[in-house]
Amino acid sequence: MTVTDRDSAPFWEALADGEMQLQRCPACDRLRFPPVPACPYCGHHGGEWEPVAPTGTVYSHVTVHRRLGAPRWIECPYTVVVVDLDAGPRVVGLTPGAEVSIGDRVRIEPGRGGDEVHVAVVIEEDNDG
Amino acid sequence: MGEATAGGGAAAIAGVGYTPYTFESGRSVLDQATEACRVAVHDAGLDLADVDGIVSYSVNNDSVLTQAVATTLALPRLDLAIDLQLGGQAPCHAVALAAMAVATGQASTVVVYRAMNGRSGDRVGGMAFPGGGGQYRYPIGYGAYLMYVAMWGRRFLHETGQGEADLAAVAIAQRRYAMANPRAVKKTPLSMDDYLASPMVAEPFRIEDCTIEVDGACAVVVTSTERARDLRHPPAVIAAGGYRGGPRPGLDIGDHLGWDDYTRNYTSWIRDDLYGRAGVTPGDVDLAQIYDCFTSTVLMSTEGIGLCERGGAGELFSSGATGVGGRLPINTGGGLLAEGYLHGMNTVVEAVEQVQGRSGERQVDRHDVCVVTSGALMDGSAMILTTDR
Repeated sequence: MTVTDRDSAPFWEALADGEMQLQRCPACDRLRFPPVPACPYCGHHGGEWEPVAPTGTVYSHVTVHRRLGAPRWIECPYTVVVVDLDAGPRVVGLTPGAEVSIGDRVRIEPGRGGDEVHVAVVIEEDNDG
Repeated sequence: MGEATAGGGAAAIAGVGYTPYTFESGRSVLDQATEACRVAVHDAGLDLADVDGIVSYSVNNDSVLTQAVATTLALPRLDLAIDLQLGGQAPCHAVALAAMAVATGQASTVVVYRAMNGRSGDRVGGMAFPGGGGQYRYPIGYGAYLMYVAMWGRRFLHETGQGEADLAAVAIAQRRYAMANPRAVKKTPLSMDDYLASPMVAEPFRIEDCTIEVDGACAVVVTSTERARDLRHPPAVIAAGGYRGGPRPGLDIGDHLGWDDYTRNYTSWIRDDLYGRAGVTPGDVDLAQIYDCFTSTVLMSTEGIGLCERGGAGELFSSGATGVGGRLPINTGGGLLAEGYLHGMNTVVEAVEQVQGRSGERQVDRHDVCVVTSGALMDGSAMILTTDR
């Protein structure tokens, strides 16, 4: 199981069940990621978990050609993708290979590599190029 | 105004010291730290007993504490001891803290050092940083610092219309300086063909886009400008300096998910306060030492600190303007890319020697105003050094 902390446990538990859940600030209404105990936009202490659409757009990406300590089950090259969720917040995830472009439409799925659930980024097939 | 504007000309850097930068020092970190500090104090023309403050920084306990160095320098007393837990964001911050202590009378003479066996010991390139953000990175192979900078670099190149030729321009221009720098560990010429043949590590970065880890230590001595005037070298006056992080700087050094704009780092946030406090404008800058753990950082920070238009840094470097005899020399020792990775403290050393007019073959003609940056991403620090004008 992924190493979690008390703030992030609901996120990982939901992801393992195939659902994306994020915290929303009851004071300013902003969604946030990563999970933290207080709102990083307004400072309100607290947050309420809710499901969000697991879809978004590639903001940036890095294709890794040398392992540099990556877990053994990941094959090189692989690409780490920062995704702007349609719901607002930014998340980071993994996709195999190197075929990613800024602006690509993607969806988030629970990844099952090794013993841990992780954020897997699936590139939608109807992207140009 | 906060610490971002510390300095104000009351304090100056009087001397520098450094050990050889090597791949295998065969020495303890404390041994190297002690040497660099001792050399810096003597270089300034001071005695060890004059030192009453020490500031340093480390990543994951890769250095030695200031109290240990106070012990090995046999200091009679210690009035200021600051051990920052920061990497490359720290150097100008550390110098500004020393300047603030001197300006407020909390200390009279402060040594600022960085010491590490960064090559033969713990290597930051493969280090897992403590902090809450690791759980989102390490399980997916997003675990090396260069990947975070590459992530920003990719978006930056995309938005500013720059590309690999612009990254190459930085590496090539800086290598020319390194060839004339005895401290540099990379002194062989670098052509565009050499650059393009360099293996890809984390796209868009090739090996030649990356700094090179070394063992070593370096230090500078901060004291009052008034006192520095009577010492061995002309003062490098700290006209302004300090730290700056924007909103949502993250859970640790690798968590940038809350940061809005990967094309603008801390330099964009500190720029106006920095120049304003120093009483100069970017147009007054004679030379710059821009933190360069990776080539894209140089492009982003050169633009961010106001030395060229957004999207214009690659052209600045490829035009020759930053080189020997150019109109705006930048990274005149070859930078961290070629001199070695002492997390930017050696960047400060190069700046001081240039402002003091003692860089030998690499000495630039106009050296009255030098801007220095420390760091690459959400937070960092910067300062402006001037001659005693």
